[in-house]
Amino acid sequence: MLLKMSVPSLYRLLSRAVSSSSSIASLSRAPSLQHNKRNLTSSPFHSARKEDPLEETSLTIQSLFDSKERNKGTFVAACDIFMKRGPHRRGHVEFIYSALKLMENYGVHKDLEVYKRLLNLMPKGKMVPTNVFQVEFMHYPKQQQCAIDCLEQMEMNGVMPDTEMEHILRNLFGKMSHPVRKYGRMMYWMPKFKNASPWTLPQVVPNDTFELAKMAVERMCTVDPSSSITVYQTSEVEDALEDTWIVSGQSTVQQELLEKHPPGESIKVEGPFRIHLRDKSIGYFILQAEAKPKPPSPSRTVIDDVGSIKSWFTGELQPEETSLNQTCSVHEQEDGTILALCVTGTSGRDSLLSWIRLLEKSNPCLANIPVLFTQASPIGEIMNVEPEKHHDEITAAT
Amino acid sequence: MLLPCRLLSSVAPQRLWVGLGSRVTGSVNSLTSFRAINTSPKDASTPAVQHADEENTSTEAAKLKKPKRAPFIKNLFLGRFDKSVLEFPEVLDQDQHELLHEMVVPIERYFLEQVDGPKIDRDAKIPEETLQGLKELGLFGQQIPQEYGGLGLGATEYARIAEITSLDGSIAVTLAAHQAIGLKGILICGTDAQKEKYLPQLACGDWTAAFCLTEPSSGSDAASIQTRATLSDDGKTWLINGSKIWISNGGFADLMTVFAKTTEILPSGEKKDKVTAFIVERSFGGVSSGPPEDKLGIRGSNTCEVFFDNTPVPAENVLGEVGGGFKVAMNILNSGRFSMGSSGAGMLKRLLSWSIDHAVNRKQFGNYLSEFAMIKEKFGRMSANIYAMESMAYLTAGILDGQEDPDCSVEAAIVKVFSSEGAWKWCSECLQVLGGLGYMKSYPFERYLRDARILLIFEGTNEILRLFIGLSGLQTAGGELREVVQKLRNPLMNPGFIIGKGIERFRQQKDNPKLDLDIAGHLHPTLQPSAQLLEYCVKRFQYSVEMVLAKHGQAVAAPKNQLDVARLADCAIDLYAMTAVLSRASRAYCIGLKNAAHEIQLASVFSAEAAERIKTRVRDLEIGPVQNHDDLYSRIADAVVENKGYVAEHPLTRTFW
Repeated sequence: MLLKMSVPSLYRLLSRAVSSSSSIASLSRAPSLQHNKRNLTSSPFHSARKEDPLEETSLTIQSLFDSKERNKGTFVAACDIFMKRGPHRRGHVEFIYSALKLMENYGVHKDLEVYKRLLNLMPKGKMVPTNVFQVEFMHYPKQQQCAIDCLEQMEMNGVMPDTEMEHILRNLFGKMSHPVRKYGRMMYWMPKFKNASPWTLPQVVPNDTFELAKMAVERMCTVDPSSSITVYQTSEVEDALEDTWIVSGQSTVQQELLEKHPPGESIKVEGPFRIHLRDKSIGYFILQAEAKPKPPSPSRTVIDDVGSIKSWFTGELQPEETSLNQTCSVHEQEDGTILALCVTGTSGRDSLLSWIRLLEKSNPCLANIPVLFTQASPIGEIMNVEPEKHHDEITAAT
Repeated sequence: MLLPCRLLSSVAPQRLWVGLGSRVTGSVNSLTSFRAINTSPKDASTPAVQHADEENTSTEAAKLKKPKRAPFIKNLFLGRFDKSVLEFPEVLDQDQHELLHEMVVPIERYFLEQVDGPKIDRDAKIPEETLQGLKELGLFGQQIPQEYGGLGLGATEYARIAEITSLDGSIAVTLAAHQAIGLKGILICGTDAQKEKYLPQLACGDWTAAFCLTEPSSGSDAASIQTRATLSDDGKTWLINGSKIWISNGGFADLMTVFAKTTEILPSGEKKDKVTAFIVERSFGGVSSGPPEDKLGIRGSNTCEVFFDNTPVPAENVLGEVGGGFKVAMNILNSGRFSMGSSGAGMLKRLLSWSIDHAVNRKQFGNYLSEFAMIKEKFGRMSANIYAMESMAYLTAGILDGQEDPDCSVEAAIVKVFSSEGAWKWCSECLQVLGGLGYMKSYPFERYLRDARILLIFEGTNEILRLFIGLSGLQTAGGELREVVQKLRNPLMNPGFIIGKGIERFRQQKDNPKLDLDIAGHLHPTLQPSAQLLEYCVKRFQYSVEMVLAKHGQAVAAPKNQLDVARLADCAIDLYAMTAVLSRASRAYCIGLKNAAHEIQLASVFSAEAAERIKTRVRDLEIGPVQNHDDLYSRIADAVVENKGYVAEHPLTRTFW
């Protein structure tokens, strides 16, 4: 229930570790790299220049990427214009580098097709090595490094290449070239990382908070297979101030725990806590009771005494006798017992009140238990997915 | 950190490519069936992925020319292990893959929402509108080529669909009787005219097909049928007379593949009876069917007697050659069996999830059922079994799709035996998890259990198929071992061979065969222990085949030696299962499928237990009938038969007071 470490971020961490080791292996690197985080010798002056990605690109390229509207269509159009400039495609390496930097601005940094289009700008055939020495000593180093950086950026963005990509690289640099080797390594690791998380999410997580909420609750509920997820509308509750939805998750185990809860003792609604789903995050609330003292672990003498093995057929067991084969449920944590969790549309105080009311339907005992709403959120005011909106408008327009 | 770079550059380019990319890229995106299959050690030197510029030509060529390989299990009887099988087949290209998965969605939805299994079972009839829905989904023409209006599915796609159609046993059997056996004859050996005439109607489901082989006097022994076909004087029509029993779809089939004896006059003037296959339309006249049988399971499928009374069949409706019907029957039956693996797995997967649902919600003695080790063990074993079923079914389907002129008869029989027994056993265990609830009609378990029982019986009973597996392997082995025996009998002429064989025998007798097949080299290193086990088992199996042949000679096919043949067959089944499971798990781990580590666990535990079983069986063969108790059981059975029942006296009987 307390999954503070979200898996996509773990994935990114791992893929970064891999890419860093692989890029060291890929010989020298061009100085004008976007991801020069490892370039420890660079001066502050050097990095300060990098703020505007367009600044150091040449005038002609700048004009290509000057469009007001920044989406996939205009990005591809710029590539096409460059492509049509003539058979020699002079300056393609510079063009690709500047394009790589601008991809995020255009919202195409996760689009495999665009990466393929960029690599396709390089001339085919000319750079394929014809003897072993060329193979070994990085024939056309600048171009190969450019292709490697392109792959590197894909890796950073979690874009997995496909077989067509391999064909493009092979036709550019030959089958033993460094980009193709990098491709091999990527194709070894990326599918593995892609499926490393036991909680599958769509490649692009929806921006809709409701969908996001359902995913989040579903993910957190996997700790207990008997969980069920219910979607409520606050309008079901009389005199609810806010009209919104509530995605609530509770398992039968939690219901039992709630039933066993002493009526007088209060329980708390805590939150919002943050859960990440790829690059989006959402706040959730939990219904929590004070932690129960752990049942004392059976003493050595009790276990060692094989002369009196207790089981169901030896007669009705006393409660203290059953404690030996009873374990704590996953919901009974050290800092409290989690009884239910939810995400509401507004994250407002009133929606949480409605949630408790609605929970009463399936947990009648809740009527006798005082519920406290904690004022302070451990992560400050609840965030929503607003900042991402701009980017998604871009992708939607394409 | 520089190490990988140096390592990469120091290896010869070709070798490196194979080591680095071939498994990954070749498996992820193998564009053609050709490529997925054709990666045996011999051609491992050629890169698995070709250049884009070669692509067009090679794809074309690959579609026309698939690799031809020797039958896997038959060769296993000789101790030859074709390691290309360890490359789990990926026969569907991207378009086929996507098409299949688009197709699966509506079919699955249809079966979950529209098909009322309990009602079909209760009424012993599939409602007309349900059948209509199946026809609209194209399920009546799955393997019929597209030019005849069918879906034109390959074996792999067919197996995938069978996973869903098995959600209702009656429908699965109706469909199978229609296309897996009923019209398969036309597909396999029909003439173009026959295909032209019948397939379009059959594909859209306007016509239903049935397969008429079984007779009251001949069940498993197909060559002993009594139905006769006589040629009219003008030589243009055959007249069929006789009766067939237990014909699925027999009550309403418009077209039947009927097997009947015809008299052939040999050049010497002798008369000889031979089986011939005919395509019979119900409208030819003289065809009648009895009332539908009341059965234990698959109650919705129509099973009845079919009578032929002077049914005239035009001469052009002979399927295959006159007198070649037995081969046709065997071909049809052999080609239809492989899909039982996937259908059994499809059914079990659903039952498993239902019983888990129960286990996580039911509390006894203060614990949920899912926490009890005995329940957990059931789930674990069941998963491993389902995994083996699926792997075998899709491996076989992959071989059928990906090879030129494949001979998968033994493999298909293995899949059938293994998965039918698994389906029965694990259906029963799922029911057991629910205890009394599972026994009630209000839960689906008892229905699935009844439906599953037929799997062990039809399309060749498992006993017959065990003999088929064992004897066809021994036949292949016998053909080659003849030379070995000849050499053994002339030791002075072949001293090297004798010494080699002697050492081999010596090691085998010490239960320490030489492992020189390098199976582990073709699997992910994680699976190395399992690969060693598989290799050990292959060697022991070869040894036991030689042993059995030496012991019985030609008489190995005699009824009294069936137990030894069955032991070999069981070994072959486990070996094939191990191979399939390991190759699938290795592929999954290499390409990083979701939960690949779980697959490794499944594969490891399955192969470890299969190896144990093989070990026991080989030991039983080694120690002979006295020590393995075959003899004793045989004598007990003799006494029981003689007494026409249980022989022992009642425990309360006293001889004196």
